[in-house]
Amino acid sequence: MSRGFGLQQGAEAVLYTAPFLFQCEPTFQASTPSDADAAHAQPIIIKRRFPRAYRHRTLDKKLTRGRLASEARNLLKARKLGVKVPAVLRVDVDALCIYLERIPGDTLKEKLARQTKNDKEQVETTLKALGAACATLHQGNIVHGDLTPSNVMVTTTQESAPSVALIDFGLAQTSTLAEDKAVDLYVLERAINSTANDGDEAEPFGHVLAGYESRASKGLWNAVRTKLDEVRARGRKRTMVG
Amino acid sequence: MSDLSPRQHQEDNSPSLVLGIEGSANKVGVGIVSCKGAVRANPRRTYVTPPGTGFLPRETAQHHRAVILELVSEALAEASLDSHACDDKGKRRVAAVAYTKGPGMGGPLVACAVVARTLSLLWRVPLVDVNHCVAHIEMGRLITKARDPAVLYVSGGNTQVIAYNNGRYQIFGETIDIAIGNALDRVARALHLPNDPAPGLHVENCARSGKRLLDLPYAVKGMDVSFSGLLTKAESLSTRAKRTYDRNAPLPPPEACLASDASASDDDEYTDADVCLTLQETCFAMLVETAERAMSHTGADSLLLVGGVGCNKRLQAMAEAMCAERGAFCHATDERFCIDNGAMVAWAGWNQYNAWRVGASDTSDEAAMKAFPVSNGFCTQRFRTDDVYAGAWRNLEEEGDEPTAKKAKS
Repeated sequence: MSRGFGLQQGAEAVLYTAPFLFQCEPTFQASTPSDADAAHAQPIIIKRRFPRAYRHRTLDKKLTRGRLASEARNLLKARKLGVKVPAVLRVDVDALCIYLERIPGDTLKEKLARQTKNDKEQVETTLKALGAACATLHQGNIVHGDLTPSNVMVTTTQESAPSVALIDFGLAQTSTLAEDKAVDLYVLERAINSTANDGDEAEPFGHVLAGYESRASKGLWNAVRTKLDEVRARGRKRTMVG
Repeated sequence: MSDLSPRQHQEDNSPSLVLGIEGSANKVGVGIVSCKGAVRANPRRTYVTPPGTGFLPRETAQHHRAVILELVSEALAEASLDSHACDDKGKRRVAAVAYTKGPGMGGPLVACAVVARTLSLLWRVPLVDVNHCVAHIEMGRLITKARDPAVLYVSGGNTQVIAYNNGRYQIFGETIDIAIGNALDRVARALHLPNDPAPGLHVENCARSGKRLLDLPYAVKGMDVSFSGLLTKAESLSTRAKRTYDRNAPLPPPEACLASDASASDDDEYTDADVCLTLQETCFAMLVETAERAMSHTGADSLLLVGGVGCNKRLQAMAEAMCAERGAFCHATDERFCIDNGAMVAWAGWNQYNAWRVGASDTSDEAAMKAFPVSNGFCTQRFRTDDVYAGAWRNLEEEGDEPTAKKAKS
């Protein structure tokens, strides 16, 4: 980690990137990093959580450890479900660090900000793929907790359709409640629709929902759709008393 | 902002005071504020109920009706005005009457609106309807001189994280069920803490002797928070808590309750102070976390705490610690302006009235009465912060704001 450098600072954690040695074949020699090893070195991401001074120590410890554990656990689960997420390479509970595969590409936020008229079709497929990924996640009873365009990585290749990966499971939870899943989508809806430029078709989130519907089971789709309307009604539009 | 733009100075001879009436919950207040934001008078009364009970709309309205005329006289006297709102030279000084239109409890709101309408007719001045939440924000900005802060608005009826965007006070996150102050008050009720002067103050003081952190759910959903589940748990913890609180006992230093690492499970023995400590630590951590997210989302370099819970010292300390870590500034006010008061309504009313005056071609008294007619003086229990077009006066500030000190804080 000493060779790592700061990449990004969030409210909860600092991200570093560092080279990580993947050993492809077992070596029986005393291992000193050689040029051959360096060739296998790939940049990874180390996410280090830090204590927040404003919180009571006991609460801070509870929250930080709980979130670290649930992040690692839910990343593994999501991967098993077939959602593209960073691989967990190592978890260091004492140092509050989690070592993750680095996913190349741009965030959806950057993609949306840069989109032009010609990208329309590609953006549409991307959003549909995102909806499908969310459905798979929810089908497996994982709720992401912070679904915003900055937490979606988009990798585009010349030959195939853009692929979508979800990152930052720091607020992820296991939940069977349609309510939690609807809130997940609702956060995404607000974030995505607010990045839409004027003059675009009104609701880019519609594509996400279409992708979601195509992948989700009937039961999940019906439950989440109904709940989503409920959440929308009480969220921003909640009229308030006192 | 309190230094007004040149255009706002041009009518030097016109009356320059606004009288505001607030009474959306259990406080009733009458404030008189000058066009430069000087508070001339700000008396207030609180309807206090016995320990273990809360305030109900009907009784609260009765209380307000009983004291409000007294408060109006008191405010006028304090500002050296007679009952015609004139100074000793017989010149009318009050330019407008402002009142809280909502949100709030119907009964108490109406009790105040009736008086505001009457004064408007009596003095022949415009009647300006004010959104309670917007009044809190504008008063906070006036007192702290925070220019464009993210706002954490926490009170008995509201919990919102707000940022100014595109002419509106946009709500970034809010409670999806009950308000933070309501949760604190109801735990105070369950623990039979006194309601005088405010249950929240006793929760705060009681928490200072807390030693152990109990287990409460931590419910942040996206940008929103939820307190109802946590309240149910805290209320049930309260039934088994050992009662130790003595309001006359000297308070331990504020750090004392944070020193220990101890936590306790529900089966251990614990006190009312432990419940209060846990409640505050959990709820406030949730609020500060969402406020921080809003700040990083909007890039705001300061946070403004308003609303009754905003005068809680522990919340202030936590918000300050969070802001310090991100190199931002935390603005807070004390109980005179955090808690509902008449001056905040008067100041928000002045801003609305002045925005009209600057934009209107005809600013005669008749035109003003037409623009702010008494027939418009109704109340509504539901009135969202983002319903109000705040750009009307915030744009004026920006026009003439260059000389204003940006972040001066005493």
